[in-house]
Amino acid sequence: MKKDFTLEVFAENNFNILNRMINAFNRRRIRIKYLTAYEMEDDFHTGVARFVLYTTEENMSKVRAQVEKFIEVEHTVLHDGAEAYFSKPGKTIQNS
Amino acid sequence: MPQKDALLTKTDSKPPKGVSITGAEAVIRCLVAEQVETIFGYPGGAIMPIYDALFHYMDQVNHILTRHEQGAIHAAQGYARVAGKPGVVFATSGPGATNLVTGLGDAMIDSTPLVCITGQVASHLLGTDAFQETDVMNITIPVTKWNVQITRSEDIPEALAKAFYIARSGRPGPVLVDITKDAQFGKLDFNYRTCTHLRTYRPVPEMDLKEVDAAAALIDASQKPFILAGQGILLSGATQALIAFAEKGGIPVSSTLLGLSGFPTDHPLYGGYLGMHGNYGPNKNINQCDLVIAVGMRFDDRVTGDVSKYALQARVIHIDIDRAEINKNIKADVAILADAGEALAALTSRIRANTHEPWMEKFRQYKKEEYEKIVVKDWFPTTGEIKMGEVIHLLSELTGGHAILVTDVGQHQMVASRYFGFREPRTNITSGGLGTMGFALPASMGAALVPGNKPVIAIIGDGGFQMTLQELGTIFQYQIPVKIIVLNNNFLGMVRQWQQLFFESRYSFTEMVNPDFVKLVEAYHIPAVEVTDRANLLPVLTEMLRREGPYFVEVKVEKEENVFPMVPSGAGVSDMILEFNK
Repeated sequence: MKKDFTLEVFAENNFNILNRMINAFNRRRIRIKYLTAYEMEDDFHTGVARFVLYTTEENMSKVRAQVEKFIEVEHTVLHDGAEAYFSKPGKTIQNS
Repeated sequence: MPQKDALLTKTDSKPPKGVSITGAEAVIRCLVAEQVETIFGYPGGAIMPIYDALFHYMDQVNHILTRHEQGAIHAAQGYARVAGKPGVVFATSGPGATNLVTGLGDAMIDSTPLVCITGQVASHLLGTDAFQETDVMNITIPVTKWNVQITRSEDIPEALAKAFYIARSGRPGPVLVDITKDAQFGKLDFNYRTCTHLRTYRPVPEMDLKEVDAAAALIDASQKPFILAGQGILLSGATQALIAFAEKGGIPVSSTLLGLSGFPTDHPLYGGYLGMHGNYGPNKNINQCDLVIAVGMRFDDRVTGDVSKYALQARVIHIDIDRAEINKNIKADVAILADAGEALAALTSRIRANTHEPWMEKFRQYKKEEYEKIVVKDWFPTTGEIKMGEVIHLLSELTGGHAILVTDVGQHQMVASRYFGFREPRTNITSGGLGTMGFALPASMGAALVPGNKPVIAIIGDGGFQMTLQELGTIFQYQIPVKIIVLNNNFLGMVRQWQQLFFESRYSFTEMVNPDFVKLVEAYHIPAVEVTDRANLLPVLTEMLRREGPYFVEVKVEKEENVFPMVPSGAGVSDMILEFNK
C-alpha cells in the first residue's frame, strides 16, 4: 500500500546531486509530493534535500538504498508520513 | 583566450616552481600519473586542447583513434574487463558526448570501470545552445556512477584523481569528467595526489562477522546448498577463494552470464550456466535446493524468471559489496555486505568440510538429459546447415578454453555462453545487463590491446556486426589481432525465435539482406574467409588461430535455428523448456 514518507538526504553540495536523487525517484515512478533543498546555514559544503514521497514501504526501502550509494550522499533520515517535512521548514529535522 | 600558450606545451617532466601548465596538459599528466597505457577516443572542437597536449605525450601514453565514439567506449569496456582497471575514453562535446551514452549505460549495469573525459564548450557559453553544446551532465546522470563538470583548470587534478578512485573502487562503474574549453586552456600549478578516500563514500563495507557466522551455520545445516557466482567473483579476483569454498563445502557452483570464467567449467563442482538460455540443471535445481548462496550477483530477471516462483523453498545467503542489491529482487535470509573474496575466505574458515553427493548427482542427471536432447544435436550434426553450437564447441576444443571470448548480443551470445569451456578469469567479455548489439567488435579491440598471450575471439551475429562494423577501420589501422567470427543466419535471430515461439511466427522485420561480408572486410585489408561447408570449418578455424594479425571468418549458419533450453519470458525457472512444442 502506498503512503507518504519524508526522506531527508544529507549530501555534499555539488551540482547535479539533486538531479541524481530526483532521477532515482522518477525511475521507479515514485511521486514527489513536496521538495525542499537548501544549504546548511553553518556549512555551505553540505546540502540537505527533503522530500515527501508517495510510495510503498518496499519501494521506499529500495530507493533509499540506491540514493545512499550516490558518491556525494552522506546519510539519509526517513520518517513515516509527511509531518516531519512540515515540522521545521528549511531546517534540519532531528534524526529519528 | 591563451590559445597560443597552450600550443607551446609540453612542459618539462617536472615543471620548475612557478611555471604553470595548461589544464589540457594537466589532464594528460593525470593519466600518466594513473599509469594509463591506452586511451580510446575521437577528437573534436571542444577537446582539441587536450588532444594537442596528448600530441606531446605520445611516448608515454597510447591513443587509439576509433571510427565512432561508441566504438571508443566499447573498446574501453573490453580493455577494462580484461585488464581489471579503468578504461579511458576521450570524446568531444555535443554528439561526441551523446555517442558515449550507450556505452556508459552498458558499463553502469555491468559494473565496468571507465573514466570518460569529454570536452565542453567554454564556460561562458554553457546553457546558450552554443555549437556542439549539450547538457552532458544531466544526460549522463542515470548512466554514470559519478559525473562532474570542470570549469576551472585548477580543479582538474583533483577531479581526475576522484574519477579514477570512484571508477575502480567498491562496485566499479563508469564516471564522466566534462571539461570546458576555457578550463583546458587555463593555467594551473600542477600537483597530482592519488585519491584514496572520500568523506561521503564507503566503497567496501565493513564485513559483519555475525552475519558470516549465521551464513556458515546455514551452510553446515544444508543438505542441498547451491552457489550462484556472479561477476563479483571476477571483480574481486576471488576465483581461488570460490574454488576453496566450494571444495571445502562440497557445494555445486553455477555462473551467471557475467560470472562465466569466474569458476572453471571443467571443475567437478561446476553445475552449469544460469539464466534464460542457461543449462537445464541449474535452472531446475534452483527450485529444489534448500540453500542459495549468491555471491556477487544481483538476481537479474534473466536469471530468476518470475520471482514469485523462484527458490521459494530455499533459504538465501546473499553476499554483495553493494548494499542496494540486498533484498532488491530476492529477499535474503542472511546478507553479507563485503567484497566477495573477503567474504568467501571468512566463510571457508568457518564451515565444516562436507560433501553432497546425492545432490551433485541431480546436476549430473540433468546435464545428461540436456546433453542427449540438445547438446549432441548442436555439437555433432552430420547433415543440414552449420549450427552455431558446433562452431563454438569446435572453437572451445581448439583453444582448450584458453582464449578471451568477446560476444555480442543475441542467439550466438547464448550459444557461446553455453558451449565455450571457460577456464581462466576475465576471459568472457559480453554485454550482459544492457544487451547492447554492436558491443563485441569494438570491445574485442580493447580486449586485444591488453598485454597478454591469449587469442581474442569476437563472436558476432550478422545484425550486431553491422551496428559497429566501422571499427574494422580501427582494427586495420592499428593491426589489432582480433579474430572475428560472424555467425550469419540473415536474421535478427533471437527476436525471430521469440516471434516464432510467442508471436505465431510472424517475422516482423527481422530478416536481413546482407552485403558480401568477406568483400567488405577485405576492403579494410583484413584477411577474410567464408565457410558454408561443414568440412571447411575445422581447417578455417585452425588457420584463423594460427594467424598473428586480425582475421575474419563468416560462417553461414542454419537460418531458423533456435536456442534451447529456454525459460519463456515471464515463466518460472522450473518451466524451462528443452524444445519447442507447437
